[in-house]
Amino acid sequence: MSERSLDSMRDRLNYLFETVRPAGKPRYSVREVAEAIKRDQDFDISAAYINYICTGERENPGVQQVRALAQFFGVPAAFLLGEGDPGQVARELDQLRAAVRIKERMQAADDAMNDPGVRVVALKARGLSPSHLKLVSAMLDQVREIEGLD
Amino acid sequence: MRAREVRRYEQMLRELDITIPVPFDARSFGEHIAAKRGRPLHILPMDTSEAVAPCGLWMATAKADYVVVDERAPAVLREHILLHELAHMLCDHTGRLSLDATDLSFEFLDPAMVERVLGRTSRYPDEQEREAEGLASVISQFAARRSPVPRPSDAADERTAALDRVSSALAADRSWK
Repeated sequence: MSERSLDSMRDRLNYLFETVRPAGKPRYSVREVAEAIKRDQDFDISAAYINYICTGERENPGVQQVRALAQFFGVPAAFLLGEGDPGQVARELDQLRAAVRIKERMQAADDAMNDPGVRVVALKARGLSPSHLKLVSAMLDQVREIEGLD
Repeated sequence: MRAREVRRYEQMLRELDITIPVPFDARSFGEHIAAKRGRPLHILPMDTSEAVAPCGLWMATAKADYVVVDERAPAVLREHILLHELAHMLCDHTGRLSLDATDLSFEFLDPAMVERVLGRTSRYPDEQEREAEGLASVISQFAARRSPVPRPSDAADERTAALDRVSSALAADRSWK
């Protein structure tokens, strides 16, 4: 659960930049977001405009711009607009971040396959729901303890 | 399951020289498989109740195999889960843990975005799930018939077939005492 403030437009947009990152890459740049919105939604928004929202220079951006940004980040526009409870969406975004972290951990374990020093090599499981993630994490901990890693 | 598939799984068990214990219990079957593989098997009882349904996990490291079973699941389900994971081991499945957009369901988040964030790594094809489930059910059928060794289903191996008949008859006999 996110502890941070999501009270302002600026907070919420920065939160999206931090949590919704392309797989295996750092956060999206404002330019990338502007280009993707133009390409996918055929809507013109400048990188500078997005940046103004992020820095708080624009506290009340246009609704169309906000909708385009929400669509890009895959969240309901209401979240970015501050309508309703932003906590619901934030909880899901936090779950998604947790899934990404576990995935990275599993991939690190996979990548260690060729390294004789590290023994966790492969994982097998059925599809995972967010609620399975804790279990996988706990299992990794147990295995590492049994094998005397850490 | 089609007869052809059943034969394939039976063939697989014969080739791996797997004995199905009589009476069947998944734990001693697991020990047998571990001995055949020459790798220790750790069964980790964990509480999976936070997961939507009790589930199993198999993790293979260079040293050992680990299978998680839900300690709170009903015994029948627990046994089935363990058998399913053991079947993955017997099939020597190479698939790794997959965690992709299709495994996660969110109420508010756009699935396309989730896929973008998680990346697409379906390293664990459904085929392996079907195979593990098929093999597990064939093993269960043998266990239910109290047949300790998979019987050859063709007449080519008459001697093995005869031995199997004898041993399963003996097993069946024992089971009544």
